[in-house]
Amino acid sequence: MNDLARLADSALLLLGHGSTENPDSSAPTLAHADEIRRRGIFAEVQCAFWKEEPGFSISDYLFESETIYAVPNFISEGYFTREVIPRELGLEGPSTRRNGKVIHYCDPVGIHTSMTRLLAGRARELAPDIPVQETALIIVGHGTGLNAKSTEAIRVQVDRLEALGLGYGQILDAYMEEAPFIADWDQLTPLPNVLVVPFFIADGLHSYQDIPVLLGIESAPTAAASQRDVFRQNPVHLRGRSLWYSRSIGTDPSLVDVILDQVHDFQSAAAAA
Amino acid sequence: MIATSHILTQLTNRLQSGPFSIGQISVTPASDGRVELRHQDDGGRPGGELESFTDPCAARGIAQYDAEGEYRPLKGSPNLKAGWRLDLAGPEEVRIALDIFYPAALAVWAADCGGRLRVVPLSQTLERQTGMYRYARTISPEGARELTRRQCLTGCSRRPIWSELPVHEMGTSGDALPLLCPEACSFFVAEARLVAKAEFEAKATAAPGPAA
Repeated sequence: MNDLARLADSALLLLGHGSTENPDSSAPTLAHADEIRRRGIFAEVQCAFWKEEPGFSISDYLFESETIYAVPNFISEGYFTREVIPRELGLEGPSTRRNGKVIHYCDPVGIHTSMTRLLAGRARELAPDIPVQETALIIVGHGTGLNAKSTEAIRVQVDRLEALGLGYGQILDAYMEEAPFIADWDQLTPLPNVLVVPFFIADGLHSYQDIPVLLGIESAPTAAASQRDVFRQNPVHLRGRSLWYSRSIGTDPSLVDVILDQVHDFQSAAAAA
Repeated sequence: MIATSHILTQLTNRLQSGPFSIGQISVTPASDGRVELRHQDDGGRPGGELESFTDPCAARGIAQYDAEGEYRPLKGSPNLKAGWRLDLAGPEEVRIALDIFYPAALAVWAADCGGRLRVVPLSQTLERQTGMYRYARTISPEGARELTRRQCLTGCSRRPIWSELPVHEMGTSGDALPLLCPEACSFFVAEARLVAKAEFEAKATAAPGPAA
């Protein structure tokens, strides 16, 4: 961020999905907002959610700053970032002016190039002392035959991780509901060490309950992330391999910097235009 | 430029005029400038009997689960647990805590005081839904009224001023800061979809099938 001073009179609106069932869904968004607020970069920092309060549509009332940067804390482009959020916020394009205010709509955090750095860091922290050439790094997402964007964001990250030359024996993408299936993780690689990092925004039902079952770590879905901890079992020795399972990438405290990067990129693009 | 904080000014003025309630919370300013928040059910209890916090963000831990440990996604639910007090330094900290207990309530109240609050009719909220929630727009008027009674009048502390029901007396006792709901929320829309589906299925069951 080179333009922090220019944001001191602006507001940040972090937009999350939230959940009526899982208290961990909104936790990372709230935590990132707390950290950005603590840094004193913006005059105001607020969150709004699709499935929790405050809702997207009343976020207009939250701010007194004239300039508002709205950043979707979503993992990819899609239905929510292209349809639901613009509709509920009454957006008319990248910048919307109304009632003496301007709302700048930034790209979702998950598609920023700096997410690659986060994934690489998360993989290194997960198992710092293992020989990387004998290790497969698998980035796992939801995947659905209904939306190609669901897998595109992860394939892009895998390509970028490869380009970093980190030395891993293999870097792969895998999905819950689409081939290559994460349930077949031991068939996807012959390597003895396997790191699995979920490309999700929160430790929700998928990363905490569904994927551990697909991996074979758990036999059945159980309680929410905040109520138990599957991540302290690393590594798990399963199917003749050593398996490390990470928390969702969106829970990484460094995601704060990705949020700020998206604001900075919006500023740069607007200045270039 | 950031405008003068109308929300904080409104709140400061309200605190200067004495104690008030908001939803299930009693807000009591002291002469030294500190402000105490506690559950209204704990009104008569000595402070020493309550779990005390001085960090306004402690509200998050209090508001997240009810007394039975169930998650409270709808913060307006009238099931805020009791047994705590927040001893806060002044209006800024009170705003942080109340923004957690009742998200956007102060902002909506300040907008209403300033004549800037836009009330959105239910038909407009339902009409703009897409995807799986598009179906919510087919809810019958009576189904919507019954859902409003159940979900909003009984199940939420906020006053649904978007509703055609007579709700304008809700939460307007002398010392209450109003919890205004200017637009049906996503919880309501999700329930409206289920009611609309049930109505459709009931009609399909009642209708005579085609002759064999």
